[in-house]
Formats: sequence, structure tokens, C-alpha cells
Amino acid sequence: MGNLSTTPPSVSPSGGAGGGDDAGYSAGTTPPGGVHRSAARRELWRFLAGRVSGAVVSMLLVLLSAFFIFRVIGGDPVRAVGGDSPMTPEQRAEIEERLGLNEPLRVQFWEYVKDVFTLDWGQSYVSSAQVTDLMWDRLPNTLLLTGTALILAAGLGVWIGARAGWRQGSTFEKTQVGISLTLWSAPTFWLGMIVIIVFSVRLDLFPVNGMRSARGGDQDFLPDLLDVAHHLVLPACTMAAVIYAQYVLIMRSSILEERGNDYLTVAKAKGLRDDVVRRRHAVPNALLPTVTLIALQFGAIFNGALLTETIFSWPGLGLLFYQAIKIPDIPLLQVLFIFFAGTTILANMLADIIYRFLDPRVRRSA
Amino acid sequence: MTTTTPPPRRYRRLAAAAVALALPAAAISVPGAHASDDGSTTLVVGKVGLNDIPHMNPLDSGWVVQGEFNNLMYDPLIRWGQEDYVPAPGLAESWEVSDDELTWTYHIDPDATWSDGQPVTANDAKFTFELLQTNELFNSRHGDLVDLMTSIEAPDEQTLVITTEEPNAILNHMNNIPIMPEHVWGEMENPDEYTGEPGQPTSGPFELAEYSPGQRVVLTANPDYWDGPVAYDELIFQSYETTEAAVQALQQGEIDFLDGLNPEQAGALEQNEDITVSVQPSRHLENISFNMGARTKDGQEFGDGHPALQDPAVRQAIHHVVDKQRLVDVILDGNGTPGVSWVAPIFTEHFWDPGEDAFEVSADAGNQLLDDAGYTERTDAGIRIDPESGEPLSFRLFYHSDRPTYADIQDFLVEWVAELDIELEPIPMETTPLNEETDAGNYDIAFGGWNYGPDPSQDLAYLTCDRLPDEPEPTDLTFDFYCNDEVDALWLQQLQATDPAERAEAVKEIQRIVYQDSPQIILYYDHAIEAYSNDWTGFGMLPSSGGAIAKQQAAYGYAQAVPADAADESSGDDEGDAAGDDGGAGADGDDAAASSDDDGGSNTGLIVGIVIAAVVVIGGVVFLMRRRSTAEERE
Amino acid sequence: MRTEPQPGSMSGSTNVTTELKSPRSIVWARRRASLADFWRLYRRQRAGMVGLAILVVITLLTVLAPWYTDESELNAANAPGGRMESPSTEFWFGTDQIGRPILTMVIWGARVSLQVGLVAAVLAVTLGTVIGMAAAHFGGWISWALMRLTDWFIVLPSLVLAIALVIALGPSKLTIIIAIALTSWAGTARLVRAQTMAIEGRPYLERARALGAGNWHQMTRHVLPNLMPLVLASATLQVSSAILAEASLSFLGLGDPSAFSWGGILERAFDAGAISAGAWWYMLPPGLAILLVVLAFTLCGRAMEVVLNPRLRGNQ
Repeated sequence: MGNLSTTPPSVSPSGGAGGGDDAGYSAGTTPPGGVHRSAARRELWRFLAGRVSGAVVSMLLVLLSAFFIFRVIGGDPVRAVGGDSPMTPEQRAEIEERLGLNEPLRVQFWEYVKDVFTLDWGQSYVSSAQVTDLMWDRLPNTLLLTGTALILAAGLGVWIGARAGWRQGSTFEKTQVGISLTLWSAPTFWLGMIVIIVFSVRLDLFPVNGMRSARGGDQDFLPDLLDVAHHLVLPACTMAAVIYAQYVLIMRSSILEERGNDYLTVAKAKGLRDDVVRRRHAVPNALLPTVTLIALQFGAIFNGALLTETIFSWPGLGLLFYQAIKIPDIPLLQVLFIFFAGTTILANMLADIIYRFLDPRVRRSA
Repeated sequence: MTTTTPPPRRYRRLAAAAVALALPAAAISVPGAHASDDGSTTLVVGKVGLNDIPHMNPLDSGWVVQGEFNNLMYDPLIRWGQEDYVPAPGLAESWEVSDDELTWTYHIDPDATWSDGQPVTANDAKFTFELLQTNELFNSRHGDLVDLMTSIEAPDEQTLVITTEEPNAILNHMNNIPIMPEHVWGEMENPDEYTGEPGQPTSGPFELAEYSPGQRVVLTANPDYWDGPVAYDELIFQSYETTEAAVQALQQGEIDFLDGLNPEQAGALEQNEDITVSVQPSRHLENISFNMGARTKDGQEFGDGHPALQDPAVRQAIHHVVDKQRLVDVILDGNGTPGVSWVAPIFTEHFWDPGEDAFEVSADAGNQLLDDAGYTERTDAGIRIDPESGEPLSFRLFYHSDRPTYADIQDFLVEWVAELDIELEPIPMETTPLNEETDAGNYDIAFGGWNYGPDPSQDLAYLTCDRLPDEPEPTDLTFDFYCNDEVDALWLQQLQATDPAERAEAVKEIQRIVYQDSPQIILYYDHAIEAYSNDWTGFGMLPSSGGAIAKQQAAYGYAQAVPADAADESSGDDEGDAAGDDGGAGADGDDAAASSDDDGGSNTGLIVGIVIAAVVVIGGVVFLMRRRSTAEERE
Repeated sequence: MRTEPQPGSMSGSTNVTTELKSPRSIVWARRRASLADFWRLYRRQRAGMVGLAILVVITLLTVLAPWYTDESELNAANAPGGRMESPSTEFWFGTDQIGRPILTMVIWGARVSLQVGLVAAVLAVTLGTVIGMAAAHFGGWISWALMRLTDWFIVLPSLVLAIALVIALGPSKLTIIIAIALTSWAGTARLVRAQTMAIEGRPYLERARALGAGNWHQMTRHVLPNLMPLVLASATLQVSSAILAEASLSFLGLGDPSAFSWGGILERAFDAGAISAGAWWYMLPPGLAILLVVLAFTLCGRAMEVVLNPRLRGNQ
């Protein structure tokens, strides 16, 4: 379920994840018994073609909508370029011409289409740098923050979730689910504010803003690393805390689903110890849907990044977007939007395909 | 299923893991070094809104922040004097006007040099003004000054002669326009595409060293600055997304100076004994303005303003119920002065004090005015009716949805105006659509803010009839379509008054008329609340009798700053700390450190890799520990 | 074509006591029984009951607000307290920078936050249900187009899109509701589509089709009632994310400045320098209120899911 902050912590992992139901083919309708190899292969190719073409269509829609979405914002980029002092009509006209805003929408759209196909994304209104340069400059910062948060949240979440699911009904499970749900329910920016008050204002342990200290200047690698790591702690933990819940809950539900399966009973009957059964058999199988869901929820991570980066002034793509939308810096917004959506589309497509290849049940039925 | 209690050892292990995770965090939580390794001193200024500025072209700056940078790097011919804004020598050591008030002669300071050693000459000024005349982009910014100049001559290196067709007071102060080096800018093919290049020769106390859009601007002091170098080596403007974040940075010693504080932040910083808070009058004001009837120069009306607002009695009645002192007390916590007219009180030469002419805060007086003017009929709801149009006196009040202050003031206004049996309907709007509506005359009353001056001609021109549009089209060049012949005459008088006293007289008279007529109600002049680290002292205020340090139209604020302990080279301890960091964290970073000496900014990619690797390694270790411990359990 | 009576009208209009039941009343009796069944199972969900209790209390507090608080205290001109007072017996949660009691702000803020959350969730789920059912039922290119649209909305960074929408439409309560609904229906659509396809495969629907039931009849009489539990659970979860979304948008300065939603109070707190001033009383109550309500809705939604999906019930 896509939504603004993160995915609502639904109990069942069946939100379409890896369900592989889509138009053009349907994974639900498995071919009748006695499938030939060639038929299976044909089915596979159809599946791949369906997935890839679906992604391509989605991407085209994104490219198309990126043009219109940010033009309806109706802000005044001329004002943003012109500054906070009043402008004469001549000044205004001059800037409009420079930004290409005086052209009719039709012409602007045509220019946009041409630019998209020549991969020329244009210049930022404000800084007059290439928008792609701005994006690549900020991308590593976002990767650092989201990557750290993701690894923290997913690692801990999967681990805790597996144990919670295995021991359904235990105090441990209830406590862990309670903690996750509470964290999920906290607004990201509020959690950030509280974290800042406690760890920065009161305890004075961590800096609150940006990625490097202002006095650093050009630093050697090691001090720079420490400086960045020091700045990273609070935002990464805040973001991890908010996205953590979904991993716990998804992993827990996956394990719950696995628990009913025969092969586990068989494994137990063979006399394997409980935790060995869990680790060797249940967890690997349960991980599959979990990993798929993680990929499917890529979009939600951007939401988290946007809020976290804004509250901590982390110079990443989320903050860049937030700054751009206030102007609005249309070329920059377009390229960021396409990047966000494109990454998610790609991740979803790959997740679906990988799921198809890895999941024993889907393989079996094919 | 029964509840199983996990073995206690598991919790111990969790605790141990938590401690292990916390350790590196503690190890790196040593505050950053205050001085660079080479013992140079750096003043770090926190800036909110640094990401607004599109570039660092000094001749195309529309933002106040850009102006700050210009002032620090490029001297104008004439500065705004630190005392009372009286024009003071800049690159020109003196200037005079001919008896017919049409020819101005400026004498360039023979000591003035560019930071590359070249002398500053009259040709540089001539080049700059001519560039401003011919270049379309620059002219759109500076046309009001340079378009007056009918000839610009440089008879010798030190002398600049400018003639105009009409006498004009603006040539007495030149509006702080920066002068560019001809020997560099003359070579540029497209000077309007210049976006700020490090190392360019400058005539001011600083040179640009780094410009990272939206992140920071680094200026290095010119040790050979002709007018006396500053007392430190480097000035960094660090971007902050919010003032709140910057306040924390100031508390933690990350930055040394910050402006734009609110009373709560000031209160918090006053608790810190290492920080000084400076509350001084500023040139900023907040106002509400009435739609005076949008129309063209020919009188063609447009927009949908309420006709009753064109009646001075209605506006004056509202003026009577606005308790400005109360707003200053409640909204600003006392950090401001009640508003009068457009000129802020710090411009002592030009400020008009109403004295006894001030509107008395009195609903009775307001009601009396309305009764006398014939607004005696009321609707069923008790709202007064405009006898001419038959419309009830119910006005829309537009305010900016992103300004919580306006939302609060609006509460007061609604309540006060209700005492006149007039209704206000507050409508929040985003800034851009709000501006579009007010520009098109589609409003009754709207909030606004303004940074006044220092040149009266520029700002008061918004009150002249000449600013009405030619066509019924939106314009942001007029204050509420105000037009008053008396004001027009006075404005022209002050414009052409080359004698400062005569000019001041006219400027004050304009304010008196506008205050009485009340096309706008100036609510208050808010004080600038700024704070700085006690490691620094000497920040120059403009005016020196009490004014803001930041956002000046001059370089005094930062340029006059001095490290509090200038004699002491306090870098020893800090160096020790830095070395400790290096040693503590292990030796394998040395190679990488050596290779990336030149650009510390590009380490991010490597850091991303290393952090990921570290997390993976930690994860692996935890996993192995887990395995081992379950093995133990098994036995 | 007749329209189905709304569920709300059933208890009043259909006559329960009649012995001779019309086919319709049999249907209703069956539904009532399953509702009772549902409640019986739901009651066993401790977390769900806690969530429900929290919601009941908060709803009461919100509805009764005019009787125990004074709304005029929210008017800056009538603020009763001093500037940023810390909590006292007079002002339990202190005051803001104008002197308004935080407690009153939070209590009245509940109206805005809950209203936006509920309406946006209902809109989103309705939209998602209609599109999901249409996509499942019609098949062919309609289904293909609708699913492409759904996929598109799912992959879009929703906060990004919502921000753009709010700016485009101008900040107001209505705008925020629309923006949230438009950016969060897609998940429901997917879920509903899958479920509809499953339901349509059932024999009785084939029979209905064979008897010549039209699209509308099939949908409203057979598919929708079977979907309802799922849709309700989905809506409950949707409310919690809608409330979070409203808070985020308000905090980013896109809310209605004249209304004190919880996110809006936090924005004011942040702007007013509450972090620097250490005014925890200004930030904690609205944040906790959001947390509590979101948690309560989530607990309810999850409990409903468990009731509906016996497999998740475990061996209790």
C-alpha cells in the first residue's frame, strides 16, 4: 500500500508483493497440468516481456507526467531568479526569456521531449548548473544516509522479525511488534526534533546540521571520514527508526506463513533442533518475500529521506528536492522526479523478476 | 502457545552490542577544531537562505545575501557612511558637483588597488558604468542610476566626470554599486554569464575562495587590502536550512555569528555565557496595505478592490484601532518599535516622527470618523454599509500561509477592526499566488514586509503616480496603486535636491502625508536579533549608533570583526586533538589521506563505500557471534 | 436498476422480527450474524481492543472539546497566558509564544488532524476500490490501462507528488485531503483487484452471470459485500498513514495556517525556536497525539486483518 510516510504495517505480507499479478498475463492462472518444457519457457519469456514492457510503459508515463506535474505548481521561478528586490517588467521579461518560460506550453513540451531523448536535462533555473551535475553531486550523500539507515533498519528488522515470528505469542514477539508499531507511528520530523533536543541540545553529543562541520575546510581523508560519520549518526538513526518497523513486521509475517509448511514439520520430525530449523529452513524461505517487499517499498524510502534530510539539513537529493520545489526550479524537479520514480520502477521490476526465479513455489508451478 | 522467557544471557549480549555500537560514536564526538592546522583564524557565519542565490555575479544581484558578498569583495565609489548613512568615501576619496548641479566629479583614491596589485582607476569606474548601460541584464538591475548619465569621462587615472541632464541626488551616493576591474572584466566575452570564480581580483577586503552553491561560500582576506586589511584570514558563510539548526550550530561552536533570530532563540542564546546577543533596530518593517483602487495611468480601473477603501476615512478609522505597541509586545516580545511610515527610524536623517500627529489608539475616534463620513447604515449583522456602493464594509485580508507571524497578527486585526463594525475575512495564501493577486489589484487588504532604503528615491518611488501601469496589467512596482500629486511633487523635489538637508525635508514631508492618508499601515519595525561567539568582538553595526550587523549595504559588519584574543595563537590544543583523532582511529587511513590531500570535498564516494563495508563487517561479526553462541546453547 | 440499501440503514429499516423472511432479509440476517461473528473474534484481539479504546477516548475528547475548553483562547488576541510558559497547574502543557495554552491547541488540533485523516482515507479507499474492481472485472485494455495507472501511482514518490499537488492547488484543508487521497489509493486498488478476481472465480458468481446479472448487479450485490471487510481493514490502516501525511505536509509549511492541526502546531513550535528554547512542552504533546492516534488506528486495522485472515490468527 503506497502512502506518504511509509507503508502501513499491514499484518499480511500479501499486499501484491511478488504476487506477480499484472495485466497481460497472470501468475495466478498457472497453466494446466503436464506443462512441457517449451511451454514453460514460453511462459517465462512472456513473463519477462510483460514485466519489462510494464516498466517501460510506467517509465514513459513518468517522463510524460514529469513535464506537467511541476508546471501546474504555478510558482514564480522568475522571482526566485530575480531576487528579493523588486523587478521591472523588462527584468522580468528578460529572465522569462532566459528560462524559456515565454514560449507557449506546446513549444516547451516539444523542447522537453527532444531534451529527454537526447538526455539533455537542462540547466537549473537558480544555480544555472546542469541539473544532472547537481543531482550527481548530491547522490552520494543520499546513498550514504539512506544506505546506512536501510542496512541498520533492514538488518536489525529482519533479525528481530524472524525471531518474533518464530515465537508467535511470546512476550518477546509482543514487545518487539509493539516497539515497531510505535516507531512506525511517530512522524519522522518529530522524531528528528526530539532526537535533536536530546542528543544535540541537552547532551551535546552530535552536530545537528549538514554533513561536515563548517570549520573543517579541506580535510584529509580520515578526519573527514570521522567528521561525516559524526554527522551521520543522528539522521541515519532517525530514518532507520522510522523504516525499521516494516522489516520487522514483514519478516515476522513471512515466518508465520512459512511455519505452517510441511517441510518444516518434516525437518522437525528429522530431529533437528528448533533454532536450526528456523535458521536453515524457515528464515531463508521467508527472506524471499521480505526482500521483494523491500524493493517494492523503495518509494517509501525516498519519502523518509526527504523528511530526514530536511530536518537535519543533510545535503542529499531529498533536501535538494525540497529546496527546488520552493522556487520552483522546474528542470531540477523534473530530473529528480524522474530519478526517484525511475529507480523505484527499476527496483520493482527487478524484484518481481528475481522473485520469479528464486521462489521455489513459483518455480515449481511453472 | 505458551510464553517463553528468553535466556537472560541474550539480553546481556544485546547490551554489549549496544555499547559496542555506541563506542565509535563517542570516540568521534570530539568537537571540531576551532582553528585550522596552520593557525589561521576563520570567522564562520551561519546563513539561512544561502541556497536562494543563483550565482555570485556582483552586477546581477537581486538578493540581500548576494549584496553582502558584493560589499565584502568589491568597494563602491561611495559607501554608506557608518554614522547615520551619510555618504562616505569609498574608492572615491572625494567628489563634488558643479554649480549647475549637472556635472559630478569623483576623485579616485590613489591608494586603491585591486588584490592582484593593479591600481584602481577612473577607467575601471567608467568601464563599469558603461557596461551597466549597455548590457541588457545589468541595465535591468542598475538602470535607475546609470541611465541618468549622459556622459562618463575619465580625463585621467584619478578623475571621473559624470554629467546628467537633470539634477539628481542619487549621484551623491551612487547606491553602493560595485566597481569591476576593467583589466579582467574587459576581457570577458559574456560578463552576464559570470557566476563567481575563485581568485578573481577584488578591490574589497576579501577575495572569493570557494563557492559551493547552496552549501557555503568561502572568502579569504586580502592581506594587502588598500583600506587596511581585516583582523582575520578567512570568512566562511555556511548554509543552514533553518535558523533553528543554525542556533544549535552556534551553541556547539560550529559557527561564530548568526542573524535572523527570533525572541525565543535569543532568550536561549542569552543563557550561554560564551555567546553575545545583539538586539538592534533594523530597516525591516511589516505592514498591511489597502487596495487604493487598481487603475492605469489613464484612470482605467481594474481589479476587484472594495471601493470603500478608497475613502481615507475608512483607512484612518482602521488606523485608529491598530494597537501597534501591543503587536510589538506580543508578537515581537518587545523587540521592535511601533511603525509610522516607510522610512525606518535608523535612518535618523530621513525618519519622520509623528509626535502629536500620531493616530491615537481609540475605537471611539475611529467610529467617530466613520459616522462623520456617513457610514451609519448597518446590515442585520451590524456591519457598516458603504453608502456609495451599498456594500457592507467587509474586507478580505490576505496573508502569507508560510508566515505564522501573520496568522497571529491577523487574529488581532480581526478583533480590533470588529470594534468599528467592520468585518475582516482573513484568507491565507501561498506567497506566489498572493503576489499575483495583489499585483493584479484583486485584494482588499494584504500583508507585506519591506526592507527600506537606504536611498529614499528608490523606495518612495513606489508611491508615485508614475508607477501606475500603462495598461490594466499586473504590476509590483507600485504600493497599492497609490497616487497623490502632492507626494509626486515632493518626490521629484527630493530626487533633485543635491543638498542633503533640503532632501531630508522633502522625504519627511512625504512620510507625513502618507501616514495621514494611510494607504498602508506600517505595523512595526522589527529589531534585528543577532548573536555571536565571544571568541569574536568588534562587529561593526550600521549605523554605528545601533543597527544590524548582517545584511548591511556595506562591509562594516564582518570586516570590523576581531578575534577576541587576537594576540594568542590558540591553535596548539586543537592540533593536539586532531592528532589524537588520527592516532585513535587506526593507521590504515594514511594512504588514502595522502592521496586526497587536495580535495577534501570529494571523499564522499569513498566514505559511502567504507561505511557500507563497516556495516557489513559489523553485521558479519554479529552473525558469527550469534552462531557461536547458539552452538554454546546447544551443548 | 436498484441501488443497494446502505449498510447503515439496515438495522432500522429491515424488520428483524418477521418470521417470514424475504430473500433480502435473509441476506441481511446473514450479514448481521457475520458482523457479530466478526466482533466476537475482534474482541479477542487485545491490541485491537486497546486501539479501539484509545480511539473512543480521543473521539470523545475531540467531540466534547467545546464543553470543557475555550476555543477563543486560540485567538492570538485572547491568549490567556504569558510567552512560552512552562507547564503549570493553570496551563498543563504550558503556552506557546503568544500565550495560547498548548493543551487547548492540541485538543482542537485533533479535529483538523482526524478530519483530514478520515476523509482522505475514505476517499483514497473508495477510489482504490472502484478502480481495483473495475480493473479486475472488465479485463482487457481497461484493466491494462487501470493497472498501469495504479502501478504508476505506486512507484511515484508519494510525498513528492503530494507536495507538488498542495502547492499547485494552494494550501487548505481540502487541498491536503485531495493530495493525500490521490497519492495513496493505488495500494488499495491492487489489493482489491486481486481479491475481486478471486471472488469472481467463485461458483455463485458464475451462476449469477449465467442468470444474466449485469455488471452493476454483480459488483454491488456479490463482489462488494465480500470485499467490504478487506476494504474496511485497508481503510483503517489508511487513516493512520493519512494522519502522518497530513502532519508531514503541515510541518513542511503546506498546511492551513489558520487551523491548528497537530503537524501545524509542530511547525509553529519549530519556527518559534522551541528546540533552542528547550520548550519540550510545545513539541511533545502534538507529536505524542499523532503517535497515539496513528498507533491506535494501526492496531485496529491489524486486528481486523487478523480476524479476516484465520491463518494469521495462529494457534490461540
